[in-house]
Amino acid sequence: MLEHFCKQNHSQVSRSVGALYVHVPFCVRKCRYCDFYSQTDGQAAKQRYVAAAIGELKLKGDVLAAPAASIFVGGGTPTSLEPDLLDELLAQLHRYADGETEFTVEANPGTIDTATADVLVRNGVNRVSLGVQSFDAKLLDVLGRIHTPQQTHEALRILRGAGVGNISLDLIYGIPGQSLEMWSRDLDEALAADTEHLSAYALSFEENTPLWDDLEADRVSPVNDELQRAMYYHLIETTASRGLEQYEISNFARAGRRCKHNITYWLNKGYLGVGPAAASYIGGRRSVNAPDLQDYLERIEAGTPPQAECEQLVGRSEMGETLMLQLRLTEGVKIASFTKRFAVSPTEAFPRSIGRYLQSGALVETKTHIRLSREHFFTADTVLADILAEV
Amino acid sequence: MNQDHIRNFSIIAHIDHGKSTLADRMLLRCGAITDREFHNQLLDDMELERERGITIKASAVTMNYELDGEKYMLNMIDTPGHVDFHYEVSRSLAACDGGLLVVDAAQGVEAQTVANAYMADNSKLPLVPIINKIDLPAARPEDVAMEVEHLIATPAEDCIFTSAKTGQGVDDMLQAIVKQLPPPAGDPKGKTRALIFDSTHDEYRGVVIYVRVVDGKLAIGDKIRMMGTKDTYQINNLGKFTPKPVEVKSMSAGEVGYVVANIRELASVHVGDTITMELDQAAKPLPGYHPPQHMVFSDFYPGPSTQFADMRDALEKLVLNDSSLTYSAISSEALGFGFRCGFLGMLHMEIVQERLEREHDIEVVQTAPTVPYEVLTTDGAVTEVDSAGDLPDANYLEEIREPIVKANLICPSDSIGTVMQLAEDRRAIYKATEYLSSDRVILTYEIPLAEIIYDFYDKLKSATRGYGTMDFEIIEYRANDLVKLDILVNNNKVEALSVIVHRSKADPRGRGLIQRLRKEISRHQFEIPLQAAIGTKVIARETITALRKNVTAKCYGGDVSRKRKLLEKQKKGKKRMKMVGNVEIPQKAFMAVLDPGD
Ligand SMILES: Nc1nc2c(ncn2[C@@H]2O[C@H](COP(=O)(O)OP(=O)(O)O)[C@@H](O)[C@H]2O)c(=O)[nH]1
Ligand code: SF4
Repeated sequence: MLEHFCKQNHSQVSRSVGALYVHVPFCVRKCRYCDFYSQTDGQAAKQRYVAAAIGELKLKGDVLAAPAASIFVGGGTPTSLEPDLLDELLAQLHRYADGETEFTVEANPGTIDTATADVLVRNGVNRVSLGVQSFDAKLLDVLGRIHTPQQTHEALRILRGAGVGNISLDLIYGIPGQSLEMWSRDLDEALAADTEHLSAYALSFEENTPLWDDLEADRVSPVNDELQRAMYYHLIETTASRGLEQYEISNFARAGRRCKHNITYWLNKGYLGVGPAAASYIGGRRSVNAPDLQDYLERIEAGTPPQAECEQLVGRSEMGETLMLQLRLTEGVKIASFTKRFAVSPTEAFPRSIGRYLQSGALVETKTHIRLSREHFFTADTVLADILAEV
Repeated sequence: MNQDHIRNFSIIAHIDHGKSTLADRMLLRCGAITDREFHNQLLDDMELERERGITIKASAVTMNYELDGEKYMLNMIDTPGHVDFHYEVSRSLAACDGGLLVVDAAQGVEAQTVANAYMADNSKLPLVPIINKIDLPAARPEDVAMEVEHLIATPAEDCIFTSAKTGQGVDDMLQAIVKQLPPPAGDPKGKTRALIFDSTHDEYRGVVIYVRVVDGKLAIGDKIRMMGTKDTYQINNLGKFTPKPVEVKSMSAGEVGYVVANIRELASVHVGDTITMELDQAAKPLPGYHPPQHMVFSDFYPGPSTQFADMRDALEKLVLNDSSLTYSAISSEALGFGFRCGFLGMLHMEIVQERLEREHDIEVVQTAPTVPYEVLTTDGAVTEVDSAGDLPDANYLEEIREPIVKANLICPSDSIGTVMQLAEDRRAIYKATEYLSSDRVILTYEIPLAEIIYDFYDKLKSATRGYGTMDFEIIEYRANDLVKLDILVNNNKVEALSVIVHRSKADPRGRGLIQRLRKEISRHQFEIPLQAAIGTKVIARETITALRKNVTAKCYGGDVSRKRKLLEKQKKGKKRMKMVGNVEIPQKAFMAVLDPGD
């Protein structure tokens, strides 16, 4: 895409966006299943990165509402930055936050010590999303995580001790070698930690990862779909019985603790992304920064826009994406809001696909909403793909 | 020009034996084209046909040739080269007074050589045998000349040996046209009769009719009448292709050329029809006219992103220059509105489908092609049925008659055994064996058309290491023990998947069919039972298990575009499909019906 197309007319969109995402492209070591962009070395690169990210933020920050509704620092592993550098970055972000802002940092349990936790809290971070994935040492090995189950417990203790009042755990199920019982134990242990929020994803095998190679070479066997499904519905039932309400296909929260930042994505509202590979959605325009750190740094340092790709969403594409995202929420699409936004109702706009799935029962229409039926959460993409095909 | 100095001839040949190249050689020799033009095949036009290396549309070229100080007008009438266009070949031949039978000196006589030679023989058309490609190292001109002698009883030594590649023998060939082929008969003073042997559609002039004037003459301004369709028109343009179009004021008995008469639709002009004068009509039309014979029918439905009306417009445009295609609107409970289309054969069908998609951007979901059947009902009525779904209820069915073809299979004599086995598997009735030479034979069979339209030719090829060829022609409709095999998808009968089969083959066919369906229909959010049944008797069943997982993890960092692209990929390549009830049936599944299951 041409670069001039990526340039945004800032005056039109100033202060229009409530959410900020900052991508930190460093990890201590690559996990075996991970295909996100992150790098595992380079103190110098980290310094340049922090300067560049702050620079990009200064350049684009005026699209952000002040204070922002949510700030999310993800990765990669943000807490793999040394406390000083992390402090420098968070301090700049803190300027866009106030007491109401949901300010999340993703953390790997192997990277949490009291110094780091202090940096977080000192800079206004009030939510930590902890990449636990499993409490089973063997499964953590299969995944190639850097941390042990003990470190997870330790990290939780440190974070709570530092005063982080809102913690989310990330879990993965469907790991090769995992049985339903093992998953059930993992889940129980996570619930016992009594956090405010839980996300759980089925493991997916991505090309160009060591785990993918294992699969190709028959060194591991995948958990079959039927068992993954059983794990998923076990998850839904167990969390419900323990007072964590499901609000999205893979997300569960105590009352008032839903992740505001992610809800921005699912409602298809605007956000600003900073850092390599970070995506933005501003004034109907989607863009993604250059994913390669070196490329990103050079662009920023040369004063050129870091966006590698962008597209303007209009009409039916925007409707399609809105449905694709909102239908992931358990409450689904609010018909009135959709109709107000697009001047046409979802069923009028997508009669073939939505009609088909309302008829089959995969979608349910209430007075106010259209949503996926619970039995179809685990095959949601079939429905979403058909809706997109009608765009 | 005096009729004595006109020759109307055709080149008939099996595909790839060098007809086009030889034709171009003659044009070059007669000064009709330049050296540079020689390298383009002038007689084929449409892009698609060239890609497939076949000549579909016949046309005619007029050349001036001088021999021994006398000037001659040679009209070369091209014939379609593929079995699907049998009738068109016969009309082209009817416009000639003789032909060149071209045979590849390495390949020898092949099925269409035989079919065309027989056809020429039927119309008492004298043939000059040409053995082409004698420059090839593998050429065996003397052997091939013997095969030709067997075939048309012309002494082997009378064959003319040519190489279209080097030009060798082309002069001999031109001389033979003048010396061995007769000039046109016909009465220049009689009432006008001109045979329509082809037509094309031209954006500016409308329909261009190719005619051979048999009796009388045609002139610009004449009011003409089509004796078959009874339509009348006025000629506003006459001419010849040299190969560039050259206008003439009139054409008299024996001449060949084109007529333009303000006709918009190709479908109004029928190949084989006779043109006469509106005011001075001939008593009888020229013999041999019959409407094009459709060998296969298929229902075309618009795919998800195509509108019915757009499909109709596109078909309307196609028939402007393809008069052998027919279509009529139909509606099916399961598939909605579409068109029943009639074709000369499978290749014709594929060409139409591709042209709809390529030239008109129409997404076609088509049902498996079927041959036409005749049905006798208990009230004594006989009707044509072009789709298994249209069969009357079994209670009213007296008999189902299927089209039977007479097929000539030519193969090396060492593969007779396998070819015979292949034929027998397809319910063929053996008729005759005839040796073309010591190692090549013609096997004649009567075979139900339904048994050979799909993969028979490929099977024949592999049974004969590629040497086998065949030609066939419908001879009659014959009652047989035929039953309707129904397919139930998710407990709903899908008429578009029904097929008429011989009772003895119903079981394997049914089993094979639903096994293929199971592979072609992707998993849904629910289990899909598949059944094959005759009447109420289920003869085979399979189940497509439910899709248990299809969900992606969160979109990291809000990269929504990436996620959308992943979802869009799921649907890619599945555009051509139809919803039947709650089940998506892709194009390939409809075609599964064709698989004979052997
Ligand atoms: N070596 C050789 N090749 C020939 C000769 N005549 C035609 N060919 C080639 O044979 C192929 C088929 O020829 P073409 O004229 O298209 O055959 P058609 O299908 O009968 O019209 C082409 O590749 C020609 O170049 C010939 O006399 N000698
Ligand atoms: S810590 Fe997260 S981003 Fe880093 S390699 Fe592991 S899974 Fe990937």
